[in-house]
Amino acid sequence: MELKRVKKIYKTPYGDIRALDGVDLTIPKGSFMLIRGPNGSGKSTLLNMIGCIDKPSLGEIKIKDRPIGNVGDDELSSIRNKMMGYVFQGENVIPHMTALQNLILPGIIKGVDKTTLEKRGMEVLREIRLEDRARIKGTHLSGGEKQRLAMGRALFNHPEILIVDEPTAFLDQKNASLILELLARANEGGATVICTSHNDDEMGDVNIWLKEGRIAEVRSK
Amino acid sequence: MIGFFVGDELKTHWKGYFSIVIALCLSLSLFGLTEAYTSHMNEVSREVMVDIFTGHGRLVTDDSNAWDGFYSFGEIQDAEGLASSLEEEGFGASVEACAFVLPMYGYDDGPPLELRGIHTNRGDIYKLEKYLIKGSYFNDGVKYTRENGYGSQFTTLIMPDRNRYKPYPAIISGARASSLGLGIGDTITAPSFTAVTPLLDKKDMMSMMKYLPSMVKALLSGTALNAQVEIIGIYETPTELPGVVTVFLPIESLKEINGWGDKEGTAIHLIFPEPDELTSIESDLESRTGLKVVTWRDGIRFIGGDIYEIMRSSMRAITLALMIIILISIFAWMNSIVAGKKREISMLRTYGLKRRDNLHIFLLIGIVIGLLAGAGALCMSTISMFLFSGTTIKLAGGLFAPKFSLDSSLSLKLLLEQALFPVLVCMLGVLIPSIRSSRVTPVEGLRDSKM
Repeated sequence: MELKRVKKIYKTPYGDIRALDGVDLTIPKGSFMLIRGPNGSGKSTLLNMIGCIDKPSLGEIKIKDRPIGNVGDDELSSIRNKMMGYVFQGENVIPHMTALQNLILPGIIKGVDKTTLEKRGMEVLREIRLEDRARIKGTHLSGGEKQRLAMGRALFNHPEILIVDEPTAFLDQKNASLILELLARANEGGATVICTSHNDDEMGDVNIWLKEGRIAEVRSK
Repeated sequence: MIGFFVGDELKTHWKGYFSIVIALCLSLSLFGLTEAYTSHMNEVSREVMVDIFTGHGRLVTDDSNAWDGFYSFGEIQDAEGLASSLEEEGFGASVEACAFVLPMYGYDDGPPLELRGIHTNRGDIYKLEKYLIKGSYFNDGVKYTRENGYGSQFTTLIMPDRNRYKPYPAIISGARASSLGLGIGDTITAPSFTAVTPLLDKKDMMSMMKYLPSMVKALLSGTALNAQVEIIGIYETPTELPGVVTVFLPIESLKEINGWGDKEGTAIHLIFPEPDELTSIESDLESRTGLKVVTWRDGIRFIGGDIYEIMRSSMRAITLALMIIILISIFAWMNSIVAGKKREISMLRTYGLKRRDNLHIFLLIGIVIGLLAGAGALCMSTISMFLFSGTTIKLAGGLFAPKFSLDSSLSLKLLLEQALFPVLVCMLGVLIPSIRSSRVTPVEGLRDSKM
């Protein structure tokens, strides 16, 4: 994946906000990239661009050498469904759905048959250690369980790219470790992991520091 | 896939959707019940009118009104010729002669009557014989004229001739016979102004002049002077509806009383070859003959007045208003659902749900609740119809107002209305919220922190 001079400008009544200001970035396949930076530095915006859920105001994004600027909405949806997995910042779980239903959503959208959905669902639930919570509604899960569930959902369709926004924020040590372990395992399985973090998590083979919408520092391990 | 999300949404907010369905059910069952009964009433009325009252319609002179449609007075020249040509076209057509009289019963005058002269051999058009409760029907093949010994006059006036002539035969309604204490064999006197009485409800005195020749002719022949009418039969009718004041006479008798020629008549009674296409036939007939067609529909209006139409229109207006209220409620409800689900929609969009899938989900919700409401309304209408089906309309029995009871009558039209109308309302209600939901981008909902 490649980003060339990507800019994202939000127009507000009080003037334009440059969330990203000319980001050039190449993300090698199978890499584990950690995006760091203070609040408002553009981490989530950059993640949205990489995850094809938002389009840049200027610049170009290529996935597998294909520019996605002119790709239609339906195809973008399809790319997101088949290639990507997401864990968002904040509330990730649909409260009225059970843990299993929440988990299999990407599979349902993909059109996977019911038996496979259930089988894969239970497999992932075991991976995230929530197999005994399958029929519990999202609203009754704890914060850590919700985040693990979101992680499992991101992994459900075996994504090539995993987009994770602040995965360990507000989690206790035990849950944070489990999340990091899951991310590392996915990366070892061949998935490209792109993650933002506030914390000083020791992870990723490439660490990028963002400041005021620009890449301030790139550090590879 | 769409089914899963539709099911999930319906399950999540089932109370709201259930309320919408119930509101639609109640409004539509009201509508359905009204429509079913209206359709049933139409059917019954049509049957009644077509079968025994007016045939399918009557051709009357242009200056007749709906009242005159049943008591038509204007003369149609060569009515018999016109009836013959209509018969050749496939209509059942029989000439009538009508006159309005203030009769005398013995030495007392009585309430007004319509004398209606009919061709007594046209059993295919008049079912009078079928509804006789006393006495007998006119003899087939007999011409009831002076030539054949009929046409006696009231004895106290000039030229008493009771001994030479028998009274003209007549068949009267049971209700009127009962109220006047008349029976078989009693006589009524149709006074000398029989031919003039059509003008009783015409204010324009000048128009009287056109009746003058026939009046003079009748007076000169002596037949119009207090013609005697003898009751030979009584037909069944239980109420004092205007129609039951009709006294049936052989047409030749009435023409003789009024001094009309053989070919003349005041109306042509019609059986339409294609009764379901009354409207087009009506206008065609009117333009070809220059006469006015009065059908059973006018009869209903005549009996029920505009109240029938007003009630029907009012019910429709109420239902429509309810539908609009429900439509607005659905719109507001769905709008709030979409607004509340913004983050969820965004998340699903991120996971690959397409714009059109989103649109389809909400439209399908509209269709599902519409269909549920339609099915519910249909059930409720049917139950209400069943509950009311024992109700008998007490126009019961007889020639002009036969007995009929309300029945549960489900027509295809009603089924379609009940099934499609709520679907349409729900789809319209969810349309804009559905479009709104399809416009939610993956990124915009994610900015909301709460699900």
